[in-house]
Order: sequence, then structure tokens, then C-alpha cells
Amino acid sequence: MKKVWVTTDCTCDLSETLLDKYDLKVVYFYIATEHGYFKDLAEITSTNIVEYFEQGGQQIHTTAPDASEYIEFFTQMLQKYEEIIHITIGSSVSLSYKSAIAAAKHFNNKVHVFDTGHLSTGIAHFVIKAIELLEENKSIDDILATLEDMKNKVSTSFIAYNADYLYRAGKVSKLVKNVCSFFKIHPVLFMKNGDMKLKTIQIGNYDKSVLRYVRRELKKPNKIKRNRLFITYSTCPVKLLAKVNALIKKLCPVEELIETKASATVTSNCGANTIGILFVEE
Amino acid sequence: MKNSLYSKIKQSIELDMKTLILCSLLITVFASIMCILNIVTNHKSMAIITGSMALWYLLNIIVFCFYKKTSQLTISMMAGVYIVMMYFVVSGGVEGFSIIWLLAVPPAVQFCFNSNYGIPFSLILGFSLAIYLWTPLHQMGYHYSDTYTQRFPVVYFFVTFLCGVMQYRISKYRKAQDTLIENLEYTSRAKNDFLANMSHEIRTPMNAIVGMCELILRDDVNETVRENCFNIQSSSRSLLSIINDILDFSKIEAGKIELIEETFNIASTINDVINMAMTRKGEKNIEIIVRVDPTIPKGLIGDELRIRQIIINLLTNAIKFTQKGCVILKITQSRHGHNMNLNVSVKDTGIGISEENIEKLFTSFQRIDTKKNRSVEGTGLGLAISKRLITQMHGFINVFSTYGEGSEFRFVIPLKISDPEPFIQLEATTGKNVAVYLDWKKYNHQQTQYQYNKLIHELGEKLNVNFTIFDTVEALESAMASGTYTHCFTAQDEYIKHSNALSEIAEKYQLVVIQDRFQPIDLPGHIKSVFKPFYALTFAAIMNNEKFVMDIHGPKIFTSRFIAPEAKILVVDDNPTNLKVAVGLMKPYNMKIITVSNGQAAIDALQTKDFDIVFMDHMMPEMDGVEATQMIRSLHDKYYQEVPIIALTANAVNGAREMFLSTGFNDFLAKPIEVSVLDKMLRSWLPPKLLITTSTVTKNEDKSTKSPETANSKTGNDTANEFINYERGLKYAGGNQEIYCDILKTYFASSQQYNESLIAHFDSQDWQNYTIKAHALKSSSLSIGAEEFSEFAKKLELAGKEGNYEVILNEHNEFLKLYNKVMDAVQSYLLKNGYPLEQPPETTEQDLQEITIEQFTEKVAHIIDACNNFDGDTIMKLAEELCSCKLDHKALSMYFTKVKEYAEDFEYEKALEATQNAEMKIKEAE
Repeated sequence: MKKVWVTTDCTCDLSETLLDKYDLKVVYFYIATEHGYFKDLAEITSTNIVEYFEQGGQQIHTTAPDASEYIEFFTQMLQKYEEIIHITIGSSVSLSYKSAIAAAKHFNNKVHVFDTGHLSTGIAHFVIKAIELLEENKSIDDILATLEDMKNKVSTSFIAYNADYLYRAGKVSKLVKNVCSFFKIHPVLFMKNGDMKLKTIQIGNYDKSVLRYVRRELKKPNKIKRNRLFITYSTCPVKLLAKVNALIKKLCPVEELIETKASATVTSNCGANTIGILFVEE
Repeated sequence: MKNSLYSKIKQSIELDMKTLILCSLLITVFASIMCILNIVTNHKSMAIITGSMALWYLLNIIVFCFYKKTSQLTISMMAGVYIVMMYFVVSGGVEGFSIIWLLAVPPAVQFCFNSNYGIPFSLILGFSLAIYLWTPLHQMGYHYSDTYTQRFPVVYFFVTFLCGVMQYRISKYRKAQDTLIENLEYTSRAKNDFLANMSHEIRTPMNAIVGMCELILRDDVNETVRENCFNIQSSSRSLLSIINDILDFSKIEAGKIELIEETFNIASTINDVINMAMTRKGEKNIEIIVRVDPTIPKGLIGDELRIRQIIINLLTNAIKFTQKGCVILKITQSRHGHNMNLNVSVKDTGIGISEENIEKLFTSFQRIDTKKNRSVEGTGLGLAISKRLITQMHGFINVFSTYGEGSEFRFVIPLKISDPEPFIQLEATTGKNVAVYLDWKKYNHQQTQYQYNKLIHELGEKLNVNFTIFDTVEALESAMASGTYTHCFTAQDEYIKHSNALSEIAEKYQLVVIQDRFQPIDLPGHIKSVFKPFYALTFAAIMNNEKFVMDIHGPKIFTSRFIAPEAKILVVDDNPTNLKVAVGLMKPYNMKIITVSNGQAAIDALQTKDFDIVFMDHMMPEMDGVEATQMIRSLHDKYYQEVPIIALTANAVNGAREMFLSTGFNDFLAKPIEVSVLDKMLRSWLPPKLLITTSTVTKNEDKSTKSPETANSKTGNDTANEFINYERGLKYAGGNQEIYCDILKTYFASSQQYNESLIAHFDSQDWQNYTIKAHALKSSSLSIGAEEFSEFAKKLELAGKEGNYEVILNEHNEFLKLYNKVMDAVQSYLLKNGYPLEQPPETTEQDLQEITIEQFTEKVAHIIDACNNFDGDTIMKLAEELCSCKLDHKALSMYFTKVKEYAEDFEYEKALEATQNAEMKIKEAE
């Protein structure tokens, strides 16, 4: 029986294969449509979200797990492990952290909740790092301190096709949405100090904009840790994905270049054709 | 196309109410600000004009809020603009040349409003300008230079003209786009109509193919012909399923598929899909593994038929594309308050799908990787239909695949719960320790091993039973010797390999062998046996020690140890496959089996009071088995209180037996039906006098199939009459004289009707129907051994088909004479063998049963349904029932005799047509 292990939530956007590889258990977010309540990743995926809106679906709500769900989850985990480090999505973009903290109080310091201040595979960088440190037999305090240091080094950014989903999620006004659609403006968003902010915009043909975004993100390859880089997308044509992949390999070859699909929760906020490259800086 | 550039332009230039109000409001605000500024800067006249403008537009907004007419507001706005413009022109505005801004008016009004308003407004303003500037009137106002007064209206008209031309071109473009959209919609509709019509048209020749094959299979043909014919028939049925797919798809596209929400039990669905999957799998060397969550609620509300269709579609695909390994069906749930999500996953170890192909997987008529899958048949519609159905049920489907390794289709559907109790429960789990002996080496595919392991693990976890898996018989033996285990499960191959060791274990513990469905082995009586796939439901059945658990006594699974040719059985099930399975399993008993598809039809069928047992599916649409049984029991006749009704159910759970007994059933039989259990059931519930044990049968057979010489000793010169070859007839009846006599009785009973029909068709020169009758007599006569008469019928049938009516005209009388002689021979044979003949009673008007229009409509709907499914037995039965009924004192036989005749001759399309015509005529008369 392992003494300490890492858990996270489904917004870390790791595929089932990767979750199995790292023996990771996740707590699920829920997506509420007009007709039902679906478990993210297990029952509903990013493709479904995009199709739902394309077919005239009006509204989608994402719900973070509440404290009771966390209690159940932690109870199950503590049957296998003595202590848990639970790594969550940024507290400013989701209530998940608060629920986890509330639930952790029931377990006498056996659950250590860490707020990454990031989302998507930005979280995955923290999770994998924590696992690596655990395997190096580091103490929990050391691990949490290292993760804290990582907060400003993880780069979580993505380019959205338009601002439609950001408008639906209440992140931008209707005017911004319409302007973006009309002028083919593709917003590039990133996480800074736990908040999602507009980094820049790309205008014009989307494929070219994506490649410009990748070039811009990787303009200082020497400052990027070369062990792992995630390409995370909601839905994306296979050809464009291949182009992005090839460009990254050319600009900044890394040991592990991992393509993952965003969870429905993340997709419901950023929309179809969103692509992000997520890495850790030196 | 709806999101085309055209639509965007259209949306942007046509102002709706909100925009108009917004414009008016902006002008009001702007004019007010200008008015204030003019007051401050002491420009009194400008202050007045801007103030008036503000008031005018404010008034417009207020009026508009009451009347809400876009056209009024538009005209009103334009009038305001016109007055202001003219004021500026006359007063000279702020500066004289500021009227140059007027050139912006034509494009602004024409593009902001539509051309119907824009062009007249621009022209009116243009003419006003011309009148004002080109006449002495202009001396009244601001003094413009002569050049300016002469040229400005010309320039203005030129701009108006240019804008008009642009508008004209845009409107032409719009019209072209509209026409294109209309054409596309028309083409799409036409495509759907074409598909629907073609599907319908293809069914007609299909009908002939299936029917003719059936006829050939009934004839005495050699094995090669029989095999070929069987292949034609099975291919025809595949084609029929493809056509049904196309019809289904056309209906979905046209939005004509409506979901029917009913309470259903997932156990029944699982059983049906497994039956179907096992049939599709056939001899293919793959494992079908079923992992079901036993805690799924017993009562769910949703469209079970469509859910079943989706699962079958996915399973069929998985089986088609998997050559080795396994196909896994996993059904789980997630609860949310009073609702739940049904999660279904169909995973295979097949060829997988490439990423590019996943994108077009759910596209209709699209078959992916056609080069690789050339040998796999299908329309490419299954997934498109499934996806649309799932979307209609507010669910989602996903596909995960690795090319070359396999695929997984997962779908989720939100459902309501009507009964939250788990659909599988164990009576008692304490002290139940199960040993499982499986030789993992035989499963050379890793995924199969993993999935079986998972299955056993989940069963233990969910049903709270301790499982231990052993992969060597030695390990099993030593573990069993410890005495901690109550049950031992093993597979057929393992049993064959280590039968001695396992038989020893079976002496002390309950041994259960999981058998291959198509090649079961004989097992001693104390060893229990279940068929693959082994899953929660079959496991629960064994652990609950329910009666339906299979104990194989017989030497072979498909052989019966008695027959009951006089017994009449009614089987009620809404699923045609289940009906076929039930009928197939009961066939060796030589019983008379009637099938119906719902509770009401069962009640109607029981009017005859001559059924010995009723097998009733407990979950059916319209009227379910429980309701039907209760209605039957409430009927005032001793027969209805006593007729044994056996529930057919897949709900093999604790307490099911009590539930069925309390609702009027006598017993229950678990699906999938096991022959040994059916055997027991029939022994228990059939009147003993109807049972003829195998030894008796053998004796009978000895008696009936004995050599002609011996037979002659009893029946005289019976083996070969001048008109009937009894020996041949007996052979067709399986050598059983009783069955043969029964067939002869049926043949004789229908003779009068055939005779009359032949005469009637001959008199009316209805050669088509005459040919049909001759055709029917050809096969039925051959089956009783009337070879000469059969040949004669064949000759007339051929003549009728070729249009050689002379032959019929010349030989009709001879044909009837020979028919009468055959009938005499039949009669004499039956009398000699102690079978008194009853002439078919003639139905009188008083005998006819009056039915209501609702009952009539319902029966007709069933006939139409049966016609569509090529279900001849049901058509004949229902048509027969209607023939003995009257509606508003009008006998229905005049319409439905024909329907029955068509069904007898496998002319289902004609039967359908005749039924629809009859319905139309009767309803018109109503």
C-alpha cells in the first residue's frame, strides 16, 4: 500500500490512458444540459458539447464537485492510501478548490489540497511533477513547496476560434463576441496569478492564426523545460493538429509531446477548435 | 447553406424592430445633445430644429411601443429624416456646402432599410432637391452658387442610380440564393422520398423471394437445393434489414420517428440484445463478454425498443469487424436524484478506426475504410441512425478507437426511474464462496483475459460474493478440499479436459458449467449448466437456486424426450426473435404453436379456449403480460381460471416467482429459455393425456413407419392409393401417423373452400387468383402424397403464370374431378384409421361476433404490422379472426378472406394492399 498518492479533478484533461499510466484517480465535474446531468469525461466529452450547441442546444452549466462528493471521493482514496495530495483547478475559475478544502477538514490533515491557479493540462504538469517527487520519496511539505514554486513557471494558454463560448460562459460581453466574429478575431487567453486573462489576439485565417500563436508561445525555447509539453484541444481537425505537432517538434523538441483532448468542462468555456500548448518554464 | 454569406448579409441589412427602436433612440439622444449645444452657443434656429427632431423621434418610439409596426416606424423615421434634410437644404445648414452630406442618404437608406423604402425615399428627396434648386424657389432660402444648384441634383441622382443598380444586383443575388436553397431542400426531400419509395418497392420482390424460398424449403428437395435456398432466404432477410435501416433513416430525417416512453426492465433488453448478438456471432471464434451493473433500477422509463435497436446496431458492428479476441458489452448507471443515466459501452478488439475516419463515422451513407472492409456488408446507416436516436433521447455518443487495436462506442441516455429496486438481487450472499476454474491460456487475446477477470471481480463486488479464480485444476482441487467453497464455476472446455476431477468436485459441491450455446455437451443431472455469455443475470439465477436454472438431464440439448402433437400452445412476446427462439425450441415436441405479439392479441386468441398452455412475456408494449393475465383470469369461465399461463421473463431475480404467482401466472420461465427447463415446464403443465413419451413415440413410429407390407395388414391397401402415395405423405410427416392424419384432416377441412374458390375464380375468369389457388394446392397436395394431383396443379399454375389460359379452360373440370377423387381418398384413409371427419361448419350471420371500430382498427394495424414483417402466421390468424367477425352487422369475411389467401401464398405486399383497401372501404362506410 502506497503511503501517499496524488489525486486531481477531471479538468486536468489527461486521457484515460495517461490516468492509468500514472494510476491517477480523478473527481468528476458535471455538465447540466436542458435535459440531463452528465459526468464529465465519463459520460460527456468536448465533441458532445460542440455538437450540442451546433444542434441548437441553448445552455450548459458546469458544476464542480461539492464537498459531499469530495468527502466520498477522499474516503475511497484513503482506503488505499494513508495521505493524499489533491491538486485542483484554479480557485478563481472554479469552486472545486473550496469544496475540496471543506471536505479535507473531515480527514485530520490526511488530505492536502493544492490550488494550482491553472486549468486543463496546466494542472497535469503539477500532478505529474507531484508524482515524480513522490517517487523520489520527497516529503509532502517539500512537494507542496515545489508545486508552489511551479505556479509562475507553468504556462497555460490557448487560442479560441472565437469568443462565442466565452460569451456563453459570461466571460466576455456580447459586443466583444460580435466584434470577434465579424473581424475573425481569435482571442489568446492565458492564466496569470490564478486568473484567466486575454494575452493577445490573432486575426484572420484560423489555421495560420494557430500556427502564429504556437510560434509566439515558443519564441524562447531555451526557457522551456524540454521534458514534457501538452497540446490540448477541444475539437480540432486532424490536419491542423498534425501541423501544430510538426511545428512544435521543429521549434522546441521535447521528450514527451502529448496530445490530449480537453474535458467537456473546459470546452464549454472555450468552445470548438480551441487549441492550447501548455508547458513549464525553466 | 443557411449560414451562408447571403444569410449574413441579409441579417445585417434588414433591420428588425429592436434595431429600429435603437436607431430612433440614438437619433433622439444625438438630436437632444445637439439641441442643448445649440442653445448654449445661441444658435436658436438650429436649437429649434434639433429639438424638434428629438421630439419627433421620441414620439415615434412611444407610438411604436403601442402599435409595434415596423413599416410605420420606418416611414415615420424617413419622414423625419426628409424634413430635416430639406430644412438643411433650405436654410443652408451650418455651412452651405454641408448639404454635400446628402449624397450619403441614398446608400444609407437603401442599405440600412430595404430597397422598397430606400429607393422611393432617395428619389423623393432627389426630386425635392431638383425642384427646389432648379426653380426660383431656391431664392427663398440660402443662396447657393449657380454651379452648385445646377450640378448637385444631377450628382445626387447619379449616386441614387448607382445605389439602385447595386441594390438590384444584390436582390438578384438574393433571389438566386433563395432558389438555390429551395432547390437543395427539394433535392434533399426528393432523395429521402426516393429512398423511402425505393425501399418500399424493393420489399415487393423481396417478398416473392422470401416466399418462394419458403415454398421450396417445404418441398421435398435435395440437400444442396435446400442449402442454397436457405442461403437465399437468409440473404434476403439481411437485405430486408438493410431496407428497414433505410426506411428508418428516412423517417428520422423527416422527423417522423416519435419516441415512446414506457416503463421497461433492462433485464429484458439485455437478454434480447444478447440473443441477437449470439446469433450474429454464430461460429465466429470471438468471446462476447457482458458486464452489467446489477444495481441498475428494476423499472426504467424510456423508449426501450429504440435503446435495444441502438445496442444491437453497435454490437452488430463490433461483431462484424472483430475477427479475434472479444466484444464487450458493458451497461452501467449513474444516479442523479430521481433520474439516472444509462451508460452503455460496446468495445471490441477489432480493426479499429483511424482518426480521420472517426470524424466521418456518424455520417449517413458513409462507409469508412472501404478497401479494408470490402467483405463486410452494410449500408453505413447503423451508426447514423443510432446517433440520431441517441440525440433525440437527449443523450450523447462517443467513440474511442486505436487503429488496428479496437474501438469502443459509448453512449449515455438520461432516463427516469419508476422502480428503484436493483434489477438483480441475490437471496442470501452470506457464506457464498465461489471458486472459478478458468484456463487462461486458452484465451490468447489479452483483452479477453482482462475482461473476464474484470467481470468476475465486478460480480463479486456488486453482488457481495467472494470469488477466487484458479487457473489450474490442481490448485482448484486443493482449494475445494479445504471446504470453504460453496460453488464451483468452470467452462465447457475445462470440464471436458478435466471431467474426472471436476466430476469429483461436483459430488461434494455445486458445479456449474458454462456451455457453448451452439455445441453444448451432455452433463450428469447434478451438474448445473448455463449458456455463454455468463453474466450477472445468469449468475444470480444460479445463486438464487431458482427453478429456471438449467439442469441438463437429457442426452442432447435440442432433443425432447416426449412429444405432444395434440397440445396447443400460445406464445406471447413482442420480440419476433424471442418468438422464433421459443417456437424453435418447442418444435421437437410437435405441438401446435400459435404466436402473438401482445397481451390483447393473446386475450383474443384465447377466445377459442383451446390452448393448453400460454407462455406470456411479462413486458410488452400496449398491454403487458401481467395486465393480460389479470384480464384473462377475470373472464367468467372456468377455462380462463385454469389455463396455465407461464411468464416468460429475463428478470431472474429474487422474489420474481412470488410476484408472478401473485399476479395470476402459474409459473415462470427465464429467458434465455433452456430446453431442460422448458421440458420440465411442459411436463408439469400439459395434461398428462397429451404427453407421448419418447418410448411411446418410438412405438408409434414403429407402427406408423413400418414397412408397407406391415402397414397393409392394418389399413388394407393404404400405402399406395391411385391418387395418394401415403408412404410418401407419411415420410413428409416425419413418419408419425398421427401427425400425418392431422395434416390430412387440415387438408380435408380446407377442401371445400378451395373447391369453391377455384370455381368462383374460373367463372369470373380471375386467372391470377386461380393461379394462386393452383399454386397453393400444388404444395399442400404434395405434402400429403397426392403427387399426381400436385403435378396437375403445377401444370395449371404454370399455365396461369404464362397466360396460357386455354389450358385452364380445357382442363379445369378434369382438375376438379381429380381433386374430388383425392378428397375421397383422404376421407377413406382417415376413416379407416379411426379419424372421423367433421365437415367444416358453415358460418352463419348469427355466429359472427360483433366488434367495435376500435377493435377493428387495432386488428388491422396488427395485420399491417405483420405484413411489413412478413409474418404470415400472424396475418393468417388475425385475418381468420376478422373473418369470423362483423362490424355494424356487416360480415368482414368478404374483405379478409382475400387477405388470408394472400398470406397463405406468401403474397405479403398484396395482403397489405388488400388490408389497407378493406380498412379504407369499411371506414368510408362508417
